[in-house]
Amino acid sequence: MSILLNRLQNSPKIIENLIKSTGSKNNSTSNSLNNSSNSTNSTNSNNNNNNNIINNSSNSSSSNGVIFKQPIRARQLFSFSELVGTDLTLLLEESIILRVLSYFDYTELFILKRVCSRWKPLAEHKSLYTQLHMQSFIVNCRILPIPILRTFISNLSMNTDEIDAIKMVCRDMPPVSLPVLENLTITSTPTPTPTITTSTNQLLKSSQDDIIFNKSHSYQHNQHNSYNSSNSISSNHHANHSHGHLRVSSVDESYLTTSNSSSTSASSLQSSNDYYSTSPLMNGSQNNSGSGGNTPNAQRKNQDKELKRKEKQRKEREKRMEESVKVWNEDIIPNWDKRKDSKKVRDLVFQGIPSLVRSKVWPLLIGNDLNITPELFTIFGARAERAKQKSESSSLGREGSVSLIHLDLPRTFPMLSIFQQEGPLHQSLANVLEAYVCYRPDVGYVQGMSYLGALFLLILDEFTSFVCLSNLLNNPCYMSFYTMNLQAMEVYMKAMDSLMQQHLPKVHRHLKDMGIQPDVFMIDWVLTIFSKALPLDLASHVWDNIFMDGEIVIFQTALGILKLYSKELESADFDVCMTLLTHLPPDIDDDDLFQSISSFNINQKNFNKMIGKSD
Amino acid sequence: MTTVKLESSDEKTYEVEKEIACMSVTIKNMLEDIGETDAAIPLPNVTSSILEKVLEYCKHHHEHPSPQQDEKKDEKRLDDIPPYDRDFCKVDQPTLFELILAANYLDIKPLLDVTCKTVANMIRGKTPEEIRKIFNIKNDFTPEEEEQIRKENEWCEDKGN
Repeated sequence: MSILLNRLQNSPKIIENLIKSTGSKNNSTSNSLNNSSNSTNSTNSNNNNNNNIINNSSNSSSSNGVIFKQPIRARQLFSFSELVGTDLTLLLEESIILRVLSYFDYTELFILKRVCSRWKPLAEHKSLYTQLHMQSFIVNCRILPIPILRTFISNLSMNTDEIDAIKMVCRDMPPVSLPVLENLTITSTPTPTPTITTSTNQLLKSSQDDIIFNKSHSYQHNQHNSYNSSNSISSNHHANHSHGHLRVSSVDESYLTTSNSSSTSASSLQSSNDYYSTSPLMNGSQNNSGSGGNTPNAQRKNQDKELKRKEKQRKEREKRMEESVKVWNEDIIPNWDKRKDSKKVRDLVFQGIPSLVRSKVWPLLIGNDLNITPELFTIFGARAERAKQKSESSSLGREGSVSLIHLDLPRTFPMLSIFQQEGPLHQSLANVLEAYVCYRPDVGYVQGMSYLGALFLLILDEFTSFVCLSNLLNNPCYMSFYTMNLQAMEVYMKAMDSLMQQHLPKVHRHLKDMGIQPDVFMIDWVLTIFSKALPLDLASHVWDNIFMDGEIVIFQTALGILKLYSKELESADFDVCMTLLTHLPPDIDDDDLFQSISSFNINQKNFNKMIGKSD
Repeated sequence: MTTVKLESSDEKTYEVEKEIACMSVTIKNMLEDIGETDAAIPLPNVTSSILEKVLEYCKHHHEHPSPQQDEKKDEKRLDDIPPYDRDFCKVDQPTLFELILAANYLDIKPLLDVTCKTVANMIRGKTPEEIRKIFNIKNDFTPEEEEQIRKENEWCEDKGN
């Protein structure tokens, strides 16, 4: 961009100088103007006919290397109106087209890329991807297919915050792009504690969730420090990097090694699970049994192995997903009614629905028992407009709660900025939630709903999101939570309690001894269906299964999470347990979690008995 | 009130108030460099018909200064074109493009913004084929290339279908 600006600023200067030297306009002005900017297209040939000019300009644009070229000054030769019916964009210099493109977000740019070969490199120009809109891209890449991410990400120029964000969001960041990112981080993060800086920025926006966000970061930070200190016994060099890479190493450790063969990788490269399961305990006495006795070298070897395993796993997952996209598109979706109950579909859903087909499969899985039509959505949208005008007292039921929605939107996935005031999906989310409130004024708007609407919107369009949200919530379990029906909630909490007692007796006893009831974590997990607690890709994966099997999956998933962190939850003190339960570590591994989830086979009949369902 | 003379590419001369002329950063810089002069400033890249339009725009905005807006905030918005500017840009495509080039050459940022926004609005929400049609752009991709790009696009076009 700076080149562009310079050019723009320079060109008047050049002209100005020329005018000074020549005194008046003549052909030499335009000649030297062109020469001075190395343009191969000289306009001195007044005899050129229009066609030639057009050809010339298209030639110059098709050489992709240099984007900014001196414009073709065709003004003296003909008037534009003679050219009606020809491609006038060829007469616009690339800097101007870039300026036009700067009004579009990345999804639109992807479409503009397809117009012609001249526009493609322009639409991919990195100056276009530095704005807020970049962040909506980040959101999507969490649930985006990796190959696309890989081709795309290498083109991006990002600032430190965005790199941080992308690392936080994308565990699966392709290693290819990482060297680039690493270099950027190293050069652009001289601040000793990037974690704090970022969270302070977020704090400035002063919303509730941001504060939590901050907390969760400092929590991470603390953990890390404790981890560092315990490990520095075996690997001194870690200290050099500990600050600059706080976030980096905690979130994206597996990829650090590829680019940064030095110290950081060595010490931070521990399997993420080990790290999280041990670190909160390391504050005081306990030591990491695995790394304690190992030399740094042996440790590194282990870590390399671990890294290779993860890489292999990732590749396998990618391949599996690619194959499964085919199966979904060619077999299951066209024959949905016949296939939906088959074991194959169940297995595929358990694996996770590939992000490419989720937009088609989720509406199928959820269905539309309520028969919501687009007209209905429009009507409730209009009604919400009216409800906003009216005063609180005159509105029906909890319709007045529409006004609460705007307070909550910026708190929804705050680190992604996509639902903030200026964010690309802000209005869509408001529309969906407001329509829902007017559709179910008895429920009204309840905190947590915004997360559900948001995750739907990341994948579906507005209307479909509304259909899915309405049908999903039309279920006794969610309803009792959203209407704060304490009696009914109690039933679910009791069910969770007895499930824990049955399957994780040690965790159950320890938490009970400390007075931590299931509702501490379950209310949040049920209301947002894990979308707040888990990283987005994992949450989407959990949702796949919930849409398939119903709310029993929530309890299974909850047990799975508890089991994953059972080591801490069996012995750590109150604070550690509370923090862990309310702020799950961001690096939960998909495979590990689902392995853990699948180890609980809750009998549907027993579960129904527990929650008093007669069926 | 000081005035300056501007000469279009087809050698028509216009006398305008200095303040209005100086909305063009290019002209402003020239005047600063040359100092007081009676000679007409040559604008070899602007025809008289376009120069008239540009001066009309500058004059209007000189007389009706728009409230200073937070530039950064409005950078990405396309729906905030003031009524006068919107009408001003209701011209045929060749004229619009000429205006863009003139605004760029004369370095009049508000005019460049509003004309570029107008073009962006013509593009918004269209398919590549529609865009090509609007601007008579030749699709110079081979079918293979097109397929390749379409594949890269798939995820964002899929959304909501």
